Amino acid sequence: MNFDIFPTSTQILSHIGISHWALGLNLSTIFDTWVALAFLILVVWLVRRSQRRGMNPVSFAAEMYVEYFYDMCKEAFGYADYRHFSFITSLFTFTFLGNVVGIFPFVAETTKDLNTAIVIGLLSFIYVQREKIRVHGWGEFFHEYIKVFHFKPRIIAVILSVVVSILLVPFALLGEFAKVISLSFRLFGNILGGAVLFEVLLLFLRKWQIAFIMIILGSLCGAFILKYLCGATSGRPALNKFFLFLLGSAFAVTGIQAFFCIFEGLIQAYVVTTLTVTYLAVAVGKEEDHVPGVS
Amino acid sequence: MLAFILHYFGLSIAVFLSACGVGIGQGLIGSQTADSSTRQPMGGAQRFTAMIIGLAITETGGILGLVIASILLMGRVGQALSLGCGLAELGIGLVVGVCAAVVGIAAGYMVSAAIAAIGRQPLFGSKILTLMLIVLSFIEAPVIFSFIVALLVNLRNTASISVYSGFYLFGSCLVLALGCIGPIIGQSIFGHNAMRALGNNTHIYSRLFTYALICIAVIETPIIFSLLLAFLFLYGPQSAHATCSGVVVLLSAAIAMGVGALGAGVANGYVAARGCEQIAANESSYGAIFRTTMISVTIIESAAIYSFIIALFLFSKIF
Repeated sequence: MNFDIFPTSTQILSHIGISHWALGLNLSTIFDTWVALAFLILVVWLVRRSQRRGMNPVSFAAEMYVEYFYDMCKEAFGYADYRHFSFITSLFTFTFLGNVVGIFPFVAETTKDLNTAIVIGLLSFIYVQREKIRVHGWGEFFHEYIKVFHFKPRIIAVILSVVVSILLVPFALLGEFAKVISLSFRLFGNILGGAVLFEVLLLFLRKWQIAFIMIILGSLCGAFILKYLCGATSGRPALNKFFLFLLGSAFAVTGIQAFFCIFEGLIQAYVVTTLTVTYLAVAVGKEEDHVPGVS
Repeated sequence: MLAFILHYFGLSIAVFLSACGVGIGQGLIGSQTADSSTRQPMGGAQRFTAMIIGLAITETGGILGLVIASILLMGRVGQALSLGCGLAELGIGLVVGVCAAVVGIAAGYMVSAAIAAIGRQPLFGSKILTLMLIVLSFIEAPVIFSFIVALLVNLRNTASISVYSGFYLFGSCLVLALGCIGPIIGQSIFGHNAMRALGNNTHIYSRLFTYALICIAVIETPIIFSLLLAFLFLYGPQSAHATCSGVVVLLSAAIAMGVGALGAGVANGYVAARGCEQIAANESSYGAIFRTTMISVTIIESAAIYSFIIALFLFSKIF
């Protein structure tokens, strides 16, 4: 097994003689993102189609999904705000699809690439800053960084406060960007860790003894599932054994992958969304509306 | 001579540390079961189930320590060991022993709180059991990780590897062994208080369930980072041509990540545990408590993320 934490990029304009690090594109990540988006479009198409036929499980599940985020926003902001609701639902959906798209064959998780993770962190950061400016205005936005002192010679106080705040600007910026860094590196590290762990398990499965044990365990689980699903197996014992073998090996691999991929992906996407909601609630709220304990 | 000392020392570390931790944890479970059954005789069946499951899962660490020790014992009988091989075997013993010891005590501490909660709420035993199993499976995960890393190191280890390659293998074990300690302690503190909160107020079960899943996944993040670094040291770009300066940088990266995870893990456990108590005391303000806890937990965790970034940079310095 060999893995790179910083995957190689392809120079897109190299055939006309331009080569620069900023023009490098990671083509496999772009392909994986497109696969995730195609899956999303397919799901949306199915849901729209099923909604025209009245109430059915598909549209009910979709409405539950949307309503969950609606309630989350209502609880965080205290009032119905469709603007934040749409952004937050999109952020969760994109992050979650990026985390779990690895369950498709020949496709890797997009958030395993540091670039995607940093883009998600930056998206959340820029949206929060934009909403802060929209609600409080530019004056209050800059007032956070420039605190004006109050003492008698007014002009000296203003000059002094400007000088001090210019000296303190790097620290304030560092504090803001630490949020982006921690948000994106948490996502990146967790998803990459899950993916690498799964690759190591596949490495073990290539050793025949361990693969044998796993397949036996998986066949037992598969047999139980089959027993509960079909009641009893019928006819042709050899064929049944063959199917059990197939089911067992599939179960052994996909069960592990489903745990590491879907569960971890769900939790991490939820963490990103909750943090964005909380930062947003702190940034948008008035002084007295702050979350208790958070300044 | 030194290689043989390291070999046998690593072997004994794997056994005695894991046996110590598992023994303490099982003692906690057994004593709490006796206490709980004299206090409240009802709910005996579920208490017994919780005790058996807790004892069995706590035992896993001891069994894995035994397996690793016997692999080390049978592996290279009668071969002349190089110093690098001895170092790698010391690392294998260290990672399995430390993880099994800490996880044994942590699981025992958590399960004892669950058994006390069943004694307090005997009619609510099945749900307490469910939450206990979920938290326990998260607490138990580092033992499996350490076992996987130990097996991989053992696969790459041969009797005649150089000292520098031995240090690479040792470093990949060291980062997981150090990085596991803090988050596991934090998870056990969190699980203990979550069980106590559930014993005090059973109405919070559905909310506590979500809260526990999120919090425990966030607390576990430094372990995933340590595991990632361990795999990076093992299968990274240049573990083939190792040098003296590379070894120094690698060990410093391992210590940066491992010790950086320590404080963040314990602190996260304390914060999440206090959040549990507050939810049990004041259920109606769940949203505010959840947001406050999430903010503080993630800000504390960014300390571990900074050490992860620095460790990555240090690792890229090697080549």
